[in-house]
Parts: sequence; C-alpha cells; structure tokens
Amino acid sequence: MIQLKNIFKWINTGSNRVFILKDINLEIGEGDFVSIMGPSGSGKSTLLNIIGMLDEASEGQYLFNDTDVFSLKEKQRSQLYKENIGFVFQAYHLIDELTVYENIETPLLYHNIKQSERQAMVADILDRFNIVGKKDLFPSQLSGGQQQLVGIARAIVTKPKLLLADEPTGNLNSSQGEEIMELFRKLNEENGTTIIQVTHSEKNAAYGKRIIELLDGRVENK
Amino acid sequence: MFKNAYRNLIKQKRTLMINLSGLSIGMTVSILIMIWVINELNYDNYHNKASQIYRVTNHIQVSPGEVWVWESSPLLYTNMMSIQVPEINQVTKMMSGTWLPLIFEHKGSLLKESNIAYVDSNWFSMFQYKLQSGSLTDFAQNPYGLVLTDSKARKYFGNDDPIGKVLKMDSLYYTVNAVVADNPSNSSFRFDLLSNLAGLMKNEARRKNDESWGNFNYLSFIRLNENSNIKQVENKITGILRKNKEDSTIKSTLVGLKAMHFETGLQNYTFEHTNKQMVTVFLVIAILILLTACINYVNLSTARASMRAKEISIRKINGASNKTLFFQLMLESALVSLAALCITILLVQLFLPYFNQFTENNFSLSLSSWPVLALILGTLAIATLLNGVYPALILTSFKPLQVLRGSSLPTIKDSLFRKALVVTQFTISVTLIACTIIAYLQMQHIQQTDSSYQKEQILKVTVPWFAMKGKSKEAITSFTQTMQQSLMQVPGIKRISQASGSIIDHQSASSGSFDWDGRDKEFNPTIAVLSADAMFPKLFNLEIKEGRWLMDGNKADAHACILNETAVKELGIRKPYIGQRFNWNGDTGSIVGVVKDFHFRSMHEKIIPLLIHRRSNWLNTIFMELSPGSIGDQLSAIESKWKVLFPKFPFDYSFLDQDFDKLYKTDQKITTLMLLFAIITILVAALGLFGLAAFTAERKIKEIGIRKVLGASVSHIVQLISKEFIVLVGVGIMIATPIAWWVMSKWLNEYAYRINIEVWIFLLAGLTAAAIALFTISIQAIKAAMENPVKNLRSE
Repeated sequence: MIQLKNIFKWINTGSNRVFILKDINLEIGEGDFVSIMGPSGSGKSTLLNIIGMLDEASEGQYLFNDTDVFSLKEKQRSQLYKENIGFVFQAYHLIDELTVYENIETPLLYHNIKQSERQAMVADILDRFNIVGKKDLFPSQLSGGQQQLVGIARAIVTKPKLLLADEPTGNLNSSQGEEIMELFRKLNEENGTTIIQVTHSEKNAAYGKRIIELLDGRVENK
Repeated sequence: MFKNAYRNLIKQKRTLMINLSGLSIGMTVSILIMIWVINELNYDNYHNKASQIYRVTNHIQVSPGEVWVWESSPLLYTNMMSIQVPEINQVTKMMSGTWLPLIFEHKGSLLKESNIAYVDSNWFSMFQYKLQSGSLTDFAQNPYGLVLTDSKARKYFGNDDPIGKVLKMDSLYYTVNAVVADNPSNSSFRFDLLSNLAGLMKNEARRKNDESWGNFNYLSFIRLNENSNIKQVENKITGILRKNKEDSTIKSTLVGLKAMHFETGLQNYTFEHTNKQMVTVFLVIAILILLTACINYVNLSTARASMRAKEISIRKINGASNKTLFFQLMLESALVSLAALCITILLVQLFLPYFNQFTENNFSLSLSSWPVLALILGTLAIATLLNGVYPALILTSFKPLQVLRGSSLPTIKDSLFRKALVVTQFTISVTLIACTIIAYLQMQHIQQTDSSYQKEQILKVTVPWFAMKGKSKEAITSFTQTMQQSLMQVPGIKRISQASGSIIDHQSASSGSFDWDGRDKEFNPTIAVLSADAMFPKLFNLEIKEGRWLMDGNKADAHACILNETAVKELGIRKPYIGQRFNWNGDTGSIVGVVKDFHFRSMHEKIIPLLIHRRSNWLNTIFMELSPGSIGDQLSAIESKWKVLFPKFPFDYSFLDQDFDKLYKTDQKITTLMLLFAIITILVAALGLFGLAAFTAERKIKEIGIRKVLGASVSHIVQLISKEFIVLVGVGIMIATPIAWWVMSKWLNEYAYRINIEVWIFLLAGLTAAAIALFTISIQAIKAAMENPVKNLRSE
C-alpha cells in the first residue's frame, strides 16, 4: 500500500541544513498496524505527515497504491487523500463551535455526501462508539477520552483505508488510552483498516503488528 | 508610557498600516470637504457690520397666478430710499457688466472684460476691500475710474505700477485708480474689475432709459441702523416703489447679505449661489467618511483585544489601575490619530490645487489661520475620541484572572458591536454607490433625451450689442443679411441659422402682452419668445407637428408665429390651431405652425410655452454648422470675416455642446464628487474589512487547519471566512436601499424631467459593494486556506 523510497526531509536555517528525516525506506502493506516510536524530535510526526500527504519530502519517492504521490497535482493529491486517509490527533482538534454530531459530519460535507446518507453514516458511527447520547454536546462538555473518541469517529466516518494517529493517547490517562487502543485493534482486525500510529508508550506500541523506531531521522530497526 | 504605546503600535504592523492609511484618507477627504463647507457657510460675512447689510428683492405680479422675483431694482429707487427711510444708514448700487462688457485696446489686441461691475461711489464704504495701492477716493471722484484686482492688474501691467495707467475703449479713456487684493473665496463679488457707474451715466440715452421706473437694472444694497425693524423698512420702501412705478401690487423685501449666497426663487442670479441642502449633504458626507475611517480603527483594536488581553491582565495583576490603562490606550489612539493627521496635512496640501481647480476656488491650508487650525484640531480630537474610548473601555473591562485561566475572550456583546459597525460602514458605502449610479443615470438621461436637436459641431457667435447700438431696424436687418452672406463664403460651413438667442438656455420671456381667441381676460401666462429664421428647424432637426415653419421673404409671415406643443396645450388654443389669431405686443398675426417640444432651457425646468416669430432685426445669434475635420481652419476663416464685420470687438464664440455642458456643470461636478466619495468610502470600508478578515483568519487558523485535514478545499475555507462578512454586507445593503431611495427621490424632484429609480440600481450597488468586500476577504481567506495545516495544528 505504502512504499517510501530514500525519503529525505530537511529545513534550511540560514546557511545550515538541518535534516529531519534521512534516507527512510519503508513498506507498509494493506491491513498492517504499525507503531512508530522514538524520542522527541526524532522525526516521527514529520514521517507521519508525509505519509498522510500533509507534508512533502525534500527528496525521495512515495508510492501510495502504486501512485507516485509527490508527482501528483495538488488537486489529485487532495482527492487521493480524501478518499483514503483519516487523521487522529493528540490534541483531538475538534471544532469548538460544533456539536459532536456536527464534528463527525464535517468530513462528509467535504466528501459531497447527501444529507440523508450523512445522517445514516453519522448515526451508525455514534452507535458503534456508544456516544449517541452525547451527539448534541459541545467538545468542551466532554472528557478527554470522549473527545478523542469523537476525533476517531470523525476520522473513520468516511471509511478511510488508512488511519494515521499522532500520539492519540498522549493527553489521556491510561485506562482511557487502553480503550482507544482496543478500538484501534478492533478497527484493524474487523474492518481491515491500515493503521499507523506515532506513540511514546511501549505499551501502546505493542498493540501494533510491528514497531518502527526512529532516531535522529533514521530508522533504527524494523 | 509613550514607549509602551509606541511598541504596541509597531508590533502590529499590518493593523497600523490599515489604521494609518484609512484614517488619513478619511481625514483628508473630510478636511477638504469641510474647508469648502466652512467657506460656504461664511459667505460675505467679512464686511463691516455685514449683518446690517441687505439687498432689495422685488416681487412683480405679472398675472394673478404668477409673480416674478427680481434681485434688481430701478436706478432711482436706492437714492430715494436713503432720503425717505430714516432706518437706512447707507445705500449703494451696482450693475454687473455681463451684458455690458468693457473692451479695451491693449498692446494691439482687443480684450473683452465681462467680469466687471459698475458701482457707485458708496460701494467701497459699504463693502470691505483690501487696498493694495492707489486711492479709492480718487476712484469715487473719477467717472472713468477703474479698480482692478491684483491678478487682473498683473495681467495687464505685469510688474509695472498700475496706478494712473490708462486703458482705452473706443474714444473713452479709463484710468486705474486703485488695486485691491483678489476677492476672498467667501465673497459673492467675484468681479476682477470695478468701474465707476458715473461714467456709464454720462451716456444720455442710457441714463434716461435707466431712470425709468419700469427698468430694473441695478442691485440695491442698503445698510440699516442697528436694531431696525426689517418689516417696517420693507413696508416703507415698498410704498416708495409703488408710488413711483404706479403699481399697487409690486412688493419689495430685504435679503440679508449673509443669506444672499443661499437665496432661492429668483428669476436669475448675478452672483454664484449654492443650494443650502447641498452644503448640508456634503457636511454629512464629510462626517460619514471620517466615521467610516474611525470604525476601522475601533474594529481592529477591539478585534485585537483578545490578543492583548494577556498583556492587560498581567498589568492589572501587577497593580495597574483602570485609569492608567485607559490612558495608555487613549495615548495609543492619540498617537495613531496624530500620525494620521500629519499624513493628512501632507495629502491635503498635495490635493488642494486639484480641489481648487475643481471647485473654482482659491483655498489654502495655512496652519496659522484659526478656522483651519480649529478644523484640524477638531478632526484630531474627534478621531482620537471615536477611536480611543470604546476600545479602551473594552480592554480595561477584562477580568484578569478569567483571562489568564484562558476562558475565551471577545464577549458576544463586543463582537455584536463590531458587526454593527461593519454594517454601518457598508450602509454608508452602498448608499453612496446607489446615489452615484442614480445621479449618473440622470445625467445620461439629460444628455440623451435632449438630443431632440443637434448640438455637435455647431458654432455659436453673438453679435455684440454695442455694435448695433442706435441703428435703425432696417439697418440692422440689412447688416444681418450682409453678415450671413459673408459667413456663407467660409468653406466648410454647411448651414447658417440666425435667431434671437441660444437654443440651449433661452431665458427671454414675457407676460401680459399676448392675446388669442378664447383667452380668459385674467390669464396672462409667461411665454418664452424667440425670433428665428427659416434655417433654424433644419439646422437643429426640429420636428414640425402641424402646419409649416416661417418662410424667408414671405411678407405675410412677418406677423405670423409658431407655437410649441406646450403652448398649444397650456394656452388652450382652439382647433384647428393653424390660422388661429395670435396677438403679441399689439402685432396681430396668426399661427402658421406647431413645433414639437424641445428643451430650450435647463432640464431642471419644465418646458414652458414658446412663441417663435420672425423679426429680422432681432437676430443677434448666429449658429453655424461646421464640417467635421478641419474645425481649426474653419474657425480662423470665420474669425477673419468677423474682424472685417466687427473690427472693434474681439471674436467671441462657443460650441453648442459646450454651452450645453455648462448648463449642467454643477450637476456634473456633484456627480463626479459623489463618485469620488463613494469610491473612497468603499475603499476605506474595504480596508477595514481586509483587517478584520485577516484577524478572523488568524483567530480561526486552527479550525481552518482541522477542516483542511478533514478534506476541505480552498473554496470551502473561503466560504467559511467570508460567510459572516457577506451577511453583514447584505444587512448593510438592505438598510442602505431605502435611505438611498429617499435621498435620491428628493434630489430628482429638482428636475422637471427625470428617470425612475429602479430596483436594479440597488442590486448593482449592493453587488458592487459585496464584490469588493468578497474580493478583499478572499485575499485573506485564500492566504489562510493555502497554508499548510500541519504548521498550525502542532500542539507541542
């Protein structure tokens, strides 16, 4: 599904070139569940963003289902992105002014899905996540775990093939974190969703089928 | 404190730029308008005891339903009042020389001076002039004395001393007795040459004519003693006039010198006058533009409030009192306003020459004169207060702990206020745009409807009145014919027609000397009278509705006449119109034709009944249709013919389309000014919107990031940011529509022929404003939407 070949990422500060990623080569198949680990500043999030098409590499090649992502035009890329990728953030990033229901509905709006269908899809996911009763609440009225649940619901409501999560449990206590991880495992096993998560915690990383460790922008072992 | 204010301002470069440019544009326009408004409101107030000076107005009943109001009086009237009415302290009279120009031979060429006035010896003791050289007493004693304004003197004599210099006209020698400073811009008296009335009176025929109580040729100014009862004076002078003119219905009233500039209802005006309503309108516009600019400042500062909340809160926790903070914020506002004012003064200086050219005035921005200084300081004070108070109140009202705990800041009430301000700005802009469109359409309407006759490439020359002085009817007729033959020889001239006045603005009219079958004995309507030759309808493409035009050489037609459609209708001429008896001035004749109505006066007026006759000794205006192309050659050929015909008179000509434009010069200027003001207002409003949109984009940067990650496209994001502003602009349009409709209905009422105000005008105005607003917001929105969301979602 994903092939990264000789990916480099750097930023220029003055005359210095600071490397964030150095020669990353990676293959991730469909249905995989990968955990990326590494200390702060090792390039985990950057790698995730490149895979998520939110960021571009400075050098190298990225094939997504055999399509060369970097050579795509902006429009095609965002189409590819919209159809295939869902994102979950550490800070949940829900829209404060919208209710739970509306937050989950938002990506469907951008996918041009009809209202009746949207209703059905959101209702379905609310039901699956057991948060039907919370649908009219605003994010500020929810606990962190609940907010992240909404965040995941929003990410998968469009049924993406790839779910990317950037420290999804970073702001949660351990029992909430476990709940989220169980959810991820279920999604991976039952729906076949490919998941890539960035995490600090060994315990959470263990939920993945494999772990990639990054250090100073390089993959340490596979 | 200063340092803090300065730092805070510099930190927000974009906001500062928007505030400075908006404020200085707004202030510049306001100050320019105010200079004009103040000047208008202070007309003629600089004369000594100006509030005791009045001009006599005469109301002449011409028929039971019609009164003519004249600013002029009989010659002998003035002196008689000064003798018989004890309240009158001093009198003076003058006559404008527009119809009686002086033509001087100077350095080998003829110079026509029509911007002159004939004044009596009291003129300079009633009215103030700044004497630069010479002596006004000499002038009073010299029948052929002249007083020149400074610039006129320079034009004639350069740097030589003009006093005692002689200017020759015919066999008369005029001597320059005094030079006065140029007329101030708030003076009704714009003459650059004053001649002694006594000289004019040396002409026996002239004096006899003017001494008749039936001739109203002189403006009478009187100065009353303090606390005189004006009503009583009016009654007393009316008595004098009635007795001498043997007319029991005539009436005289007094108009104050200072009110003269805004006088309305006169038959015609010697001095330039202004519609008082227009002054009010411009005053309101000046205030609105300044307001629009100040709203930007208030909006941007309150919008920024949330960003400054932390700073303010920390200051409060550290013991700053509300008062100190309030003054700090006011100081910031004062600094911005002051900086804007400095730019404004530069801009005003820069634009003043153009403004002067446009308003035909001579304003200057001298910082030493107190009204200008007061205006500038006033603008500064108003701007500082408008800008400072509300934002300062909002910012100092924060509860510091709440802020630092991070509860969201801009309160609902505050953002509602900001919305109201944006709505206000767009209400102002849309109103101005709609008014401009309507004014423009009305101007178009005038130019198009009036093409019922041709105006292009028609040259008009007027036979000098002086040249025909004292000649017999027959001599004038034969001279007229010679002249036509001579001009016909000029190659290129297609047609020549002669008439008794211009078709563009024919004011000649009379009342009471007409009779026709079926006329009520009491019915004496005003009828315009024009004499025209056979070529007239062909040259101007006039349509003959019934009958025929007057024929050259047809003896019977000497007494025949033609009426326009309005005349036939309003006079109640019996059918068939052709052949009906029509008497005019005791001359019995009949109607031979009816001509389709055409506008022979400004469109402000309704077409009145018109009588066209054929008296060849009346034909003093010559119209020549030139061939396109070599206009210059044709002109110089005509000029050489003129020099043979009138060796003593300078060649004076105009083109009809120019004359026509002159008739609507004021309207055109108002339209241009409105357009300018509308553009400036919308520009300033857009500038503010630009700032607010930037602010919204900044505030929503995270939300935009999230939405982009969720698959939103750029257009989605633009919609997100624009939506709330477009709603505001929409509300502005809805409020503006009835206001503009009301204002412009009133304005259009001044025209006898006007357009209908249609819905699309408001749609267009609204769309224009909305498009400009959307464009402005989109710049910011697109910028925000293009940004990489990753950057803005980083939570570490």
